[in-house]
Amino acid sequence: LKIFTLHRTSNEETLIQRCKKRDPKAQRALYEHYAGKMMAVCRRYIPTAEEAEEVLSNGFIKVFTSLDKYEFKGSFEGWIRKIMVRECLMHLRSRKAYVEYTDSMENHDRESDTAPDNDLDHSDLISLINDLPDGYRTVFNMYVIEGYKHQEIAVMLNITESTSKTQLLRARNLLQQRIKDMENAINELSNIKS
Amino acid sequence: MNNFDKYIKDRLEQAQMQPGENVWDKIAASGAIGAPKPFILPLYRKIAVAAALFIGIGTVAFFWLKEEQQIGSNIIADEIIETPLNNNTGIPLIDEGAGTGNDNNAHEKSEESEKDIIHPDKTTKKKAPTEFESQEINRKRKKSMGTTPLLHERQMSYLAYQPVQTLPELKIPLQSVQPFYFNEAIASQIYRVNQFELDGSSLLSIDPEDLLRLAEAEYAPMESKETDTIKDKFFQFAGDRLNAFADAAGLPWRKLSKVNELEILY
Repeated sequence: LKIFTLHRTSNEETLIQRCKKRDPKAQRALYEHYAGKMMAVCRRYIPTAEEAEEVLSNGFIKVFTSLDKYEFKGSFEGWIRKIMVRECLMHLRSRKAYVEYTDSMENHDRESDTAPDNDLDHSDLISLINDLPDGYRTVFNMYVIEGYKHQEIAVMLNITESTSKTQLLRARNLLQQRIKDMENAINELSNIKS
Repeated sequence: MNNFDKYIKDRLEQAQMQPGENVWDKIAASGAIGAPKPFILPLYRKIAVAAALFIGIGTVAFFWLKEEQQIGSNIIADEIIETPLNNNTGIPLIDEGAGTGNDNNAHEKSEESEKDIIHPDKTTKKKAPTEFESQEINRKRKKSMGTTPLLHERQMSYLAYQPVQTLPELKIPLQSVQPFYFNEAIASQIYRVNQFELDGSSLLSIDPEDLLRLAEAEYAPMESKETDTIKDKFFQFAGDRLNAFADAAGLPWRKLSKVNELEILY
């Protein structure tokens, strides 16, 4: 259906114009095209699938209702992604999840710059990110994947820049440690099998 | 952004996870999705549909009317076939007193060959059909409505039974037999005589007992009164015809006694 609808609309601009006119078929096509990517975005911020789907549906409702504000400046996917991230943050704020932000660097908070050896699957990575504390996870996602700067993150989360940096550092270290643990577990498992 | 961040970003930025169908249902239920456009047929399509309907209905009506007309004409043709004809001229025999444009001509013909004219039953003039006749007409009508091709076959076979023109005075026209409701077997015997035994001498080869047996089989289901009437008609017809033949061929009257005896038996 995705291929078919994309082929029919031939380009994204036409599809968006039709969505602005509230053409239900075009809206469905737009949803089909972006639902998978946006669900992955939501799952990185929201640990449970049910909540992530709720956020996703709210995000798409906002996309369709505020589509007139989109003026074809910049990537449309980026525009949708911003809406989704904001929706995720609102959801986290509404359930008061990210309360623990610490802005004091401790001695063991040293930056590590080593990429994992194993090529982990994205679902494994999302699962590991979901296991991070809410504050760590949010800042890590916003900085590393969405590409926000600490200043923007501080404004959006209503925290200081240093807090954002601290959260990122700790999230990175924790995630690296967990990836390493997972790699060790995989290696042990493969050794046992061999 | 360090190497670790790039590693994570590369793997997660374009990652996809398909949501459940309930997500779209929620979106659709929210009212953010436009209502589907009502199905409005464009004008040219309306015209095309109307034209197609008109042609379809018109075609069905045309064939229906044609069929009705065919059935009606078949019934009329059937009734015409049942009308006694002059065996020489083929002109339908006209009841006395019934005035038509052919009165004079018919009168002249009747003077020429008065013996050849068959008077099937003077008592049937303009009288209401008997119950048997009504049943027979209904039966033929039903048959014609249900099996038009069969009727057509019958008509064709009657045409095949038309007397040979070379010795018309010796022929027994089948049309004249029709009012007596002979069955096909009797008709075929008469046809055989007409067609192949042109000298007339073997007209008597029609076994009167066979005729009787066939007549009984034909008339068995009928009321005895009706049977008697029809048999009377037959013997009157047969006697007249054979006597006429005997006169024309110069045959001794005695040779015809078998049929006369048959008549006496009944």
